[in-house]
Order: sequence, then structure tokens, then C-alpha cells
Amino acid sequence: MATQTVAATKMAQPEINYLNHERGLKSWLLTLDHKRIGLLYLVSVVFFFIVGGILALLIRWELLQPGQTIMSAETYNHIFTLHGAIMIFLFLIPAVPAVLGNFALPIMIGAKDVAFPRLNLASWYIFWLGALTMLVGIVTSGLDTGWTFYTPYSTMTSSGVTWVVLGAFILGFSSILTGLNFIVTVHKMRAPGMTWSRLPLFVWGLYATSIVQILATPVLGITLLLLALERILKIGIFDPALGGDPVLFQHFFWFYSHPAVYIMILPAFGIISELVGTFSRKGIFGYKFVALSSVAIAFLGFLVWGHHMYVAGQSATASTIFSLLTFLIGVPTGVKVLNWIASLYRGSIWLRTPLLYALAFLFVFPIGGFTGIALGTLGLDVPLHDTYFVVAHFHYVMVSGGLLAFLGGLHYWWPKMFGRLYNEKLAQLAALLIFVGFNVTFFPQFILGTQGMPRRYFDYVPEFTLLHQLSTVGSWILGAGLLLVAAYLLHSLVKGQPAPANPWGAGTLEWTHTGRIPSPHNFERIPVVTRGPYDYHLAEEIFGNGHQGQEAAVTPAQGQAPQPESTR
Amino acid sequence: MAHATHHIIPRPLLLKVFLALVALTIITALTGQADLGAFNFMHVPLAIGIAVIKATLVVLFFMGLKYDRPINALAFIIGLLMVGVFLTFTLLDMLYRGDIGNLDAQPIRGPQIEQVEAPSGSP
Repeated sequence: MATQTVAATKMAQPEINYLNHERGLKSWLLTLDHKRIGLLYLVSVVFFFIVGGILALLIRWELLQPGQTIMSAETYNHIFTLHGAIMIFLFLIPAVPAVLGNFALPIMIGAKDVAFPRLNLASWYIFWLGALTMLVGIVTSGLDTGWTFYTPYSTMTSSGVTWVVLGAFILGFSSILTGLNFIVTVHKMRAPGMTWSRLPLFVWGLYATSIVQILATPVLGITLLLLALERILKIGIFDPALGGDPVLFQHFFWFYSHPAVYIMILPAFGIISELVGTFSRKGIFGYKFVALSSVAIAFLGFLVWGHHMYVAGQSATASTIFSLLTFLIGVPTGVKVLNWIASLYRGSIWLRTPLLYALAFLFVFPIGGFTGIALGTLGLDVPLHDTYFVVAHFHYVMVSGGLLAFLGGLHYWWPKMFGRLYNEKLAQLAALLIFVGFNVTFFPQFILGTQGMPRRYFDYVPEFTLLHQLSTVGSWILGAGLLLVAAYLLHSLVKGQPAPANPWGAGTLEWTHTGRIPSPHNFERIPVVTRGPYDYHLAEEIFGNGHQGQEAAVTPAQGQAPQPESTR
Repeated sequence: MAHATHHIIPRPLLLKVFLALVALTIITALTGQADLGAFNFMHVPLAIGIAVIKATLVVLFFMGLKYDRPINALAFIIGLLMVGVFLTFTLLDMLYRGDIGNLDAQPIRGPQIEQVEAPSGSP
């Protein structure tokens, strides 16, 4: 009788989860819960993505016709710089690790939270401090150097370089602290049985990213310190008039910023691994190679920065070595791409929106990668340097790695974040629009680049008009796709169907061992892990009934029923 | 757990390390001003060498890395390695500037221009 009464009381109570166990603005602003901090980051980076996206649309609008269309040349310089700085520092770098990493990593390894929850919250505040510092510089004096802040122009211009670089410096601390938190969490807080070879590949990706964040980001601080020493104490470091070397600035800048590209890409690789594994119902082909190739990329990523400087006056000896090393980085990247394709081969493909983004990534990213090899070739880089070819290459890598993987991951974890399903048909339509829009926007830019259209130019010769117009139309399609994503995701928050605990039939702990929305401490009992993340043949809790997908979902009873526990 | 095994460095040892650091600082100042004759070129390497010894003492004793788990030493060494990587590759640029010839001294396409001009200039 007593047992029945307890059960009845449980059923009557609303489900306690991380979203509703505390209410009010204060509970969000002072939260130490990694999932809530992930959502705080989500709102923040989406805000900056919208700002950066609007700037991108303005850039493309200006380039619709030769000559002045909607803004002056000077304004154009400010707009493209802002687009780059905001997208890189305030969206791409924090998007995957800080949003999806924060939300999923601790649950994926069976931990209740990250190792340092207070530091985690501090990272978010530091992120905003850095962002606001940047915005102060941008609003008060503008910025027209491009996101790379190259000397000597950046020391001569009256725009707000100091504020923006200081902002980037502060943002760097946020990045370092997140990386530090993740490394300690992965080392110290794995659940019993969660060995290194059972880590989900997203965790491997985040781990490799964290190493890069910790080792590379301080160099940005050193660079700023040297700039300050030069400006205040007149010690010649970068300024030739004082006996300095402007190319040295590029060495410092790219020693951080090239690995920073991998900060944006490596966690994206992790997401693709999760999506491919889950939606092909198959173990990732060559799990260990895929995992260790992330670490190899993180390591090699430190040795290739000079490929940005072939035409900057760098010695031919250094350029030759950097070119060779740049080719090498194609090897671990190729390992990943081929292994993903091999994983899909003869898999039980379940074509849902997250997988569509992964497939789009698999199409788009190699184009970015191969054109990167072209640009890494010493001779070929000379005519292509600073043309639209570089712009297209960069966007093919960054938009595929940053945006497509982020959207894929967001659609994948959305039901776990909010316990609601989005409209699948609209989501597939949006994925198609984004894929088409992206390619129509950026593929013409490869052609423009080979024909000699320089990057960062406000005007162009009439011969380039058609390709520029095509690119602009593409940006509208891309924008429409993204608007559609925003619309159905927001709609799903209010009217979306309640999601089961494991709508995708995935094999990782956040799906198999939590309720439809995780509880504040993720698990009622710390799970004991007895199989790898993609061992579907061992995952009886998912496929015990011989079905897959929604039918086979692990749906706990109302009121956050006890989590299923691996017993094998 | 880690705190229970934390090594407490005895005060006399810390004092000895401090005195060693002071002594090394004095040696740096003295060797910096001394005339080493034929070995004057050794001023900078000597100063850097002494600085490395001092930094090592600080890391081993004041930061307690000598008594810490090897993984922490590894993390420290990786940091040093990154500095090494940065300096090595940057010096590969700095020390070899102009290694394909001084392009400013003559027009880049000089030889080709001469070849083109030669036939037209000849009778």
C-alpha cells in the first residue's frame, strides 16, 4: 500500500528537470548547471550570429552591382571587418564547445557536471565582458582592419583596434577556462567503465579542441602585451621605424589564429561522428583512428601557420617547410572523412534532419579542404592570395565546420535540451535551402577568385557582375533557410510534440540514461558503462524490441522514472 | 585525495633555493659587466643559461613540480615545447630572409625583358 501511495504521488507531481527545478532570472544568471550555462551560451552566440549574419547580407547587397550600391567604401570596410570579427570571435569559436559541449559533454561521460562549475559560469561572464569590450571599440570608433589586425595598418588607423584586440584578449580567457574545465572533466569525472576507448567521438573532439585552446590562446595575450610595450615604451617589435618587424606580428597572430581554426573545426568533427554513428546505426569505422586523428590535427595545426604568409615577405625556406606541413594535415583530415563515408556504407541509414546536415558537411567540407591544399601550394598561392578564392575556401571550411555541424548538433540535441520535437518536414526543407543557398553564395566566389577578384574590395569591374549577383542571390536563399530554422525551432518550444527520452535511438549516455529532459544532476545514479558509444549490437536498452528510431525509444515513465542502467 | 599526499617543502630548503637565486642574480650582473676578452660573445648565452637555471629552481622547488605527479611536469614541458616550436619556425623565417635573392636589387622579370628586347634591338 505504502509503495502504491508513493508511486501515485510521484505521478501527480510535475516532472522535475533542469529547466523547471528553479525559476526566475536570478536562477539562470547564477546557475552552476552546465546544461543551463550551455543554454546561456546558446542565446548569446545566436544573438551574435544574427548580428554577423545581417552584416553578411549587407555586404552581399552592396556587391550586387559595381560601384556604390547601399554604402560608402569606408562603411564597407567597417562592415566586413565587423562581420569577420563577430563571426570568428563571438560565434564560431564559442558555438560548438561552449553551447553543445557544455550541454552534452558531462552527460556523455556520465558526470553530474563539469569539474569546475563556478569557473564554467565565470567563463560565460568573461565571454560577455570580452564581447562588450569589443563592441565598445566598434561602436565608438569602428574597425576597418579586417579581423586579422595586420600591422602596420592596425597601428596607424584611428579606428578602435585597441578596444577590439583587448576584447579578443578577454574572450581568450573565456576560451582557456572552458578548455581547462573540459580537460579536467574528461580526465577526472568519467563514469565507471567509461574508458578512453569508450568515449563518444564528440568528447574526443572537444578534448583535442581544449588542448588547442589552452596552448594557443595565451599567445594572443602575449601579442597584445608586445603591442602595448611597443606603443607605450617604444620598444621596436613590430614597427620598422623602431627597428621592429611587421611580419613578426603575422607570426604571432597566426600562431594563435591558425590553431583557432581548429578550435572551430575539431568539435564540429566530433558532432559529425555522433550524427553518422547514430543515424547509420553502425559503429564508427576506425573509431580509434577517428579519435586520434583529432589529436593529430590539434598537434599538426600548430605547425602550419606560415602558410598564411607566403607573400608577406617570409623566407622561402620557412615557406617551403610550412607548405610541406600543410599537406601533412590533409592526412588525418582525410582519415576522418573516409572513415565517416565507410561508416555510412551499408549502414541502416535513417535520414533525419541532423544526418542531412552531416551529409551536407561531407559534401561541402572536402571542397574546403581540397581548395586548402591548393592554397597551401607555394606557387599556386601567389596568384590566389587575397582573392575571393581564399574567401570561398575559408567559408567552405568554416561554414561547413562551424555552421552546418552546429546546426546538425543543435537539431540532434534539441529534443534533449527542451524535451520537444521540431517539425521534421520544415527542418528538412530548411536544411535543403541552407545547403543550396550556401553553395550558390560561395561557389561563384571560387570562380571570381581565379579570375582575379580581390577580397575586401568594395567595387569591381563589370565582367564580375553576374557571378557577384549569383552570390548575392545565394545569400538570400541561405538567409531564408536560417530564418525558417529559427521559426520552427521557436515554434517547437511552445507547440512542439513532447519528445521521448531517446527519439533517435542513439547509444550515448545522454540519450540512454536520462529522462526526456535531464534532471538537474543529470543522473539519479551514476551509470556504469559496459559498452562503447556506437556498439548498437550490445545496446539492448535501445533495440531490445528489434525496432529502431522512435518506436524503439527509451521512454521513461512520467515523473522522471529511474534511469535504465547498463547491466551487462 | 591529492591534498592528503601533498608534499610540504621544508622551510630551510626554500631558504637555500632563495639564496641560490640571489647568488645567481649577482653572478648574472657581474658577468654582464665583466670583460671576457676573447669570450665576450658569451655574454648573452651566459645570461640566458643562468636565467634557465634560475627558472628551473623556481619551477622545481617554489612551484613544487619536483614533488608533483609526472603528468604535471609533462603539461609544463609541453608548454615549453610550444615556445620552442614558435621560436624555431619564426627563426626559420627571420634568419633566412632574402634566401631567394634580393628581389629589390633588380627587376623581377629582368632576364625575360632582356630576352624579349634583344631581338627587337638587333638590326
